[in-house]
Amino acid sequence: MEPKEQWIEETINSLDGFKQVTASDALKNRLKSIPITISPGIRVMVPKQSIWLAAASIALIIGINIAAIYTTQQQTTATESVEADYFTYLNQL
Amino acid sequence: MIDVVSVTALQTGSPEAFALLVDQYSDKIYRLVYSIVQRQEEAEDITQEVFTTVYTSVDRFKGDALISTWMYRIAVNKCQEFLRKQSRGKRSGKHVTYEQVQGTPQQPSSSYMHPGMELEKKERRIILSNAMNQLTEQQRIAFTMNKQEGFSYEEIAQAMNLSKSSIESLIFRARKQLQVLLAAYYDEHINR
Repeated sequence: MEPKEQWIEETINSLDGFKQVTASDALKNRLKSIPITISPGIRVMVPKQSIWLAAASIALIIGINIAAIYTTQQQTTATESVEADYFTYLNQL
Repeated sequence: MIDVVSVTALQTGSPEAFALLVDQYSDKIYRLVYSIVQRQEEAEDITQEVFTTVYTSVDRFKGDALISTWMYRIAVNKCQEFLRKQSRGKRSGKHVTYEQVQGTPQQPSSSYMHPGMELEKKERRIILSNAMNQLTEQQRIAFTMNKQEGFSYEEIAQAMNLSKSSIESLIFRARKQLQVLLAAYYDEHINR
């Protein structure tokens, strides 16, 4: 092996077994205090059933609203039509 | 790797079980994160984020893998987020090299080495570290996990959510790229 190739291989292998870094005691204490610092409320998981139920309820409410708007629009059109017919009738008289 | 921490106890929110988890995995997670991000303060912050995520999301852990694998996956994801932010220049911090960390009293050398040889090895690590910064994010993570932390291809694949063949390819390409970068360094600085 040429000196250059040898140097490259040795440099790449210089990380082998380099495992001396450890978490400091201060960091370990910080990590151990996570259950204390985090509010218990955060850990409460919302069941998937409830999420689907809420989504279905919202979809139902939106659907009812759209239907109501559509019905109201139709009723308004019908009323306007009756009124127009009535005025036409009055004009004819 | 043996998981001695009871997942059930963790899922009930037991602080004792969590403390046991910290005792068992804090060094491993910190070392992995540090070896990837190479910044002491950020490595500590990311390690804390990892354990916070573990604590708040352990309910979702289904037990289909070792908890260590799950934790490594979280750690790798957090490191990837950090590297992306770093590459966009949104995050900055004090860069502490291996040399500086090794010199602190908390990390004594495990085996004796001649001071001259030790110095040369430190220099090599710094050169390699600089070259590794030029690898792609995935190449760097895969190579570090394999070469420095001794993870198997299978373990890296699980942590990075990639196939084993993808990991083999990433490490192969990382090695090739490093050979090119180090050859250029050798020509410029050593063989003049």
